[in-house]
Amino acid sequence: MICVLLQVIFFDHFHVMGYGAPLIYILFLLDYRSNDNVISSMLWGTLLGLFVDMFHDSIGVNMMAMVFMVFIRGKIFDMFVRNRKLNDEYTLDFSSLGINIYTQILVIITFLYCVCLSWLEDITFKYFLQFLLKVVTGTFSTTALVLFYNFLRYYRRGR
Amino acid sequence: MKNLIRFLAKNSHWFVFLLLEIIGIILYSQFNSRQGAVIFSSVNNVAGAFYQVSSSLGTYLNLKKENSALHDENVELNMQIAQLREQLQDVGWSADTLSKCIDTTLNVRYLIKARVINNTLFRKDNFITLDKGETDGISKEMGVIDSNGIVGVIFMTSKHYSLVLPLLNSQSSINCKVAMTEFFGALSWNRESLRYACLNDLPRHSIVEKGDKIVTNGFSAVFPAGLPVGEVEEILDGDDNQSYKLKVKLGVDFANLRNVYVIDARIDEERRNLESLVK
Repeated sequence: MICVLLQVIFFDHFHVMGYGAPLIYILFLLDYRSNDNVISSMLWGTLLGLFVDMFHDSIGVNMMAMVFMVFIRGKIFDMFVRNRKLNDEYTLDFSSLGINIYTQILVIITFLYCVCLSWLEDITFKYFLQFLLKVVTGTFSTTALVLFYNFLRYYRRGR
Repeated sequence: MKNLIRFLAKNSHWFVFLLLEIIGIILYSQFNSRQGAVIFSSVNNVAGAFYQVSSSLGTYLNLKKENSALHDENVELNMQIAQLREQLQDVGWSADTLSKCIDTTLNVRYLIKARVINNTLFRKDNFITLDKGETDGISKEMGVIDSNGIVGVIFMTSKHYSLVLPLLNSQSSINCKVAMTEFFGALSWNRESLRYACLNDLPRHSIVEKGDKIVTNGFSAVFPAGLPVGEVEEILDGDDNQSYKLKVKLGVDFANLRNVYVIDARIDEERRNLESLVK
């Protein structure tokens, strides 16, 4: 909830090069445990997406993108984590997975989410360059913001 | 039943996902006018394609029924012909007179369907090869047409193939006239373009305008009168300055030729024999 309020009050007004804005509420997608119930996550994602949509006056856009990402995120996480033969039960955490894996997962999730969101907003590839710039700047700014947030958290915990 | 329940329970997240996405699409198209219009148009396209396929399938599945209806109609028409023959014979027409009437007055001509299997376009003397030959009833000097007009004349035949001397051949010369008049000339190809030929030796007093139709005049036994050839593109002075030369845009596109018909003008055999005596 705090993330959504931060997003609509603060981050929505920062557009990198006039294109993509950082999406702080994506932290919801990264707050993942391997034993999470997919259905309840999708329902929470629906509510979160609709909440953001209400402020953006674009009902359905964030909701669909969020539900889709919640649905596939487990596969993406498994792809990275299982290859490294970690425990079956894991938490997507900066400290437990290490910065490399975490950043890779973060970039992929953010990129896919930005692609979904931008496409649903534009619903055309007619202006492909603008679309690409929006996705790239959105991915870049969101990744930077989430990494910064995690560094802060990690640093505070460390102290 | 147990298996079904187990299957549904195992894949429940899929059903919830689809349900939520469907709800999302409905909200998305309802509350976003531009996106809604795009979705509506895409759905229309998909539905259109679906209806086209289902219509084609329906037509195909109904072929048997249509065939049966056509067969019945054919039987009925044959019966009508037989009745008319009887009635004509009753009023004094003999079988010979009737046969002659059909051959000449009704001018019955048979068309043999053929396919172009080879076609040269950029030579001085082009030729077209057809997939039908003597065994199909094709012989020399039969006319060849397609749906847009005349193509040429059968030049040589073998058992299963025949060679056509098309309009696009320097040796080709076909008598044609300006439609709705009787002013005629000889149509030949001057190698300028695949779409144009020249109608030469048209008298100076001919009444002709750009866009007039050019048709066969029936002076040869090869083509009956009135077959379309093309239309007048330009009116020029003849080489002798005593006549007109018409630049004619041909109706037939020789670069896009596939199905043609060979005119089996058997009724003109007598005329042909007579004319050959003076050649």
